Amino acid sequence: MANDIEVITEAPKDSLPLPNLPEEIIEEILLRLPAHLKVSTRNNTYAHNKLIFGSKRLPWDLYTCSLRSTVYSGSIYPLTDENLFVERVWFYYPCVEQDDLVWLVGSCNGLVCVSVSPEIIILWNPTTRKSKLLPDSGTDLGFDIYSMSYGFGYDELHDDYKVVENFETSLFEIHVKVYSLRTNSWKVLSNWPGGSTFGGPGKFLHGAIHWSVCQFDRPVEWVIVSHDLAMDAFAELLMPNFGDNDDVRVEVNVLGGCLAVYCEHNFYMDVWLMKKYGVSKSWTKVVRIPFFVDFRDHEFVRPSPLSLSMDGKILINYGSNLQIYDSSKTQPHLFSTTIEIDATTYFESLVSPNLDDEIIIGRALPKETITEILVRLPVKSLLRFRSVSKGWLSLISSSHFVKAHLKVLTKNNAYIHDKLTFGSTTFPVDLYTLSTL
Amino acid sequence: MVTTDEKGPLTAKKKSVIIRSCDGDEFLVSESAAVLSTSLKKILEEKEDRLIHLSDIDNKTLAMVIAYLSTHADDGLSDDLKRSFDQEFVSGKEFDVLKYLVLATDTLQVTCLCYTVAKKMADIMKNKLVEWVRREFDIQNDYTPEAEAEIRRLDAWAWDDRQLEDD
Repeated sequence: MANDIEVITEAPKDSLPLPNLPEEIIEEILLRLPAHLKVSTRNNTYAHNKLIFGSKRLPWDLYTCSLRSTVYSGSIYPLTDENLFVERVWFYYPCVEQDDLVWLVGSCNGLVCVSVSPEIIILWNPTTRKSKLLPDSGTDLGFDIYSMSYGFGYDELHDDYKVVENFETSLFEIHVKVYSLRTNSWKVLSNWPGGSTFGGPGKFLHGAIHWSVCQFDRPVEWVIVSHDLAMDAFAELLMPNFGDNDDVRVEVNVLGGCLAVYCEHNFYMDVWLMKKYGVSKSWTKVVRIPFFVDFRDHEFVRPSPLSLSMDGKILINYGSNLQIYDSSKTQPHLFSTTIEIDATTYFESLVSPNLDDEIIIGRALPKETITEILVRLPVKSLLRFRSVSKGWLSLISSSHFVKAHLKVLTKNNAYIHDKLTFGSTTFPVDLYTLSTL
Repeated sequence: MVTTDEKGPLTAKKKSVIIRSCDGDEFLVSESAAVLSTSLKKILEEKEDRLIHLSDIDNKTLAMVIAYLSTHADDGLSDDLKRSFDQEFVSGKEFDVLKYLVLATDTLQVTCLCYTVAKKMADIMKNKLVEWVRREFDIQNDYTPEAEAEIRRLDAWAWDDRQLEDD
């Protein structure tokens, strides 16, 4: 604390110019620090990918007023057992109650979408620990609910984060609603092309949420429906050819930056990747994961691959634990139904789930504009406004600002208020100033 | 809604562009007025399109900016008249309105209007309390109370002589 004061007070007192780095260079440096979206997206996504997981059920040993769910985070590259180092991240939200189930819907640009039991949706940045509770979508959760699933993604055109709610009634009617973080509201879409998602989650890739959809009335039952978040337009993508076996369970996902399909048979799961997005001929079967348990007996716990390493190893959420499957080795897969783990990958970014401040134009003036206003203030006001914030102190104290202030004074005669300084020539010197208006 | 530029038949004959605000209102503006904005000028040089859709300027603010541009594009007005128009233009406007305006001038790059509005904002804020400034600019006070007191102590003279305003 004492050091803080030292630093702040010294700068104006001694007026020793600190080496002022140009803003562009400072920006270049800051961009290279971790926890910044630009770095993370530019580099190989594997390098910064993190995994987040936690038990779906909140622990019972909770604090009296603040309820917290245990969530862990760890780096998943390179993918080896030893490397699966995890740290604990507190997921905290006051409205979450202890018997709520916590699902990780998905992540995008470092924001993780969390669904709680199932009508509470929270956007959360595990890196900055900021979170936001979304408003209620207004869906009537009566007894006619068949399934409710969500997708989360980014609309680049409108620089907006969106959550899509896919609600199916017991009469197999699908209702789609889209939440926009910018407007902080839900809107209803009426152009769902038909078919059922069976509660499968929507996965985000290339500006669209992808759903695996079963069309009962068609020869090819399973298709992928993509929902473009910028235009709210739906399109269909073809699934890979699964062969003769009709009795499959299909889930769409994103793996290694590609659209993936997990095709679950009785005793194994095939993982397909669409190597070139939108080209159905590029579907490639990358791995077959054998099961040691018949998952058909465990309706609510599905194995789900989370990450694929360059050397073909695959990280799987087995419902109760996380496993690395290496097809070159045979290893047992532990399985228990006592607890469930949910997991999703994310990378570290500064993206805030609270865009509110940015939405209102005029609230956040750019630094250049603030400078334009401040250079037109008298010195006395500026001295006082140094105590507005540290940012304003450093702005007003910078040599750049001092020069700009001087320039405005000299350039425009109208602003000049010449002052006269006078005083006695003997000690103590009492100086006086007088405005010559 | 289409608001026509009311600066007489002379400009109406000339080329014009339609500018649409973020809330959908359209304004017909003469090209000579539009090019006073560096951003609009750049767009008009690159594109054939005579419709420009602005994504972050609302209709009230845009109407003010266009009134300003049209006046300054009018060759029939003397510089003195334009100067007194500028004074009239910002006088009596609330700080919030000026914030929208100064942001719009930043987007559209209308330097002279930016200076006029910035000057008016500076005039309004010069005798305000620090708390007022924080509120209006939506700035979090990131000083510790000790550090803030120290800053204030350094230039105590700047605080004492005048009644500072909070509204």
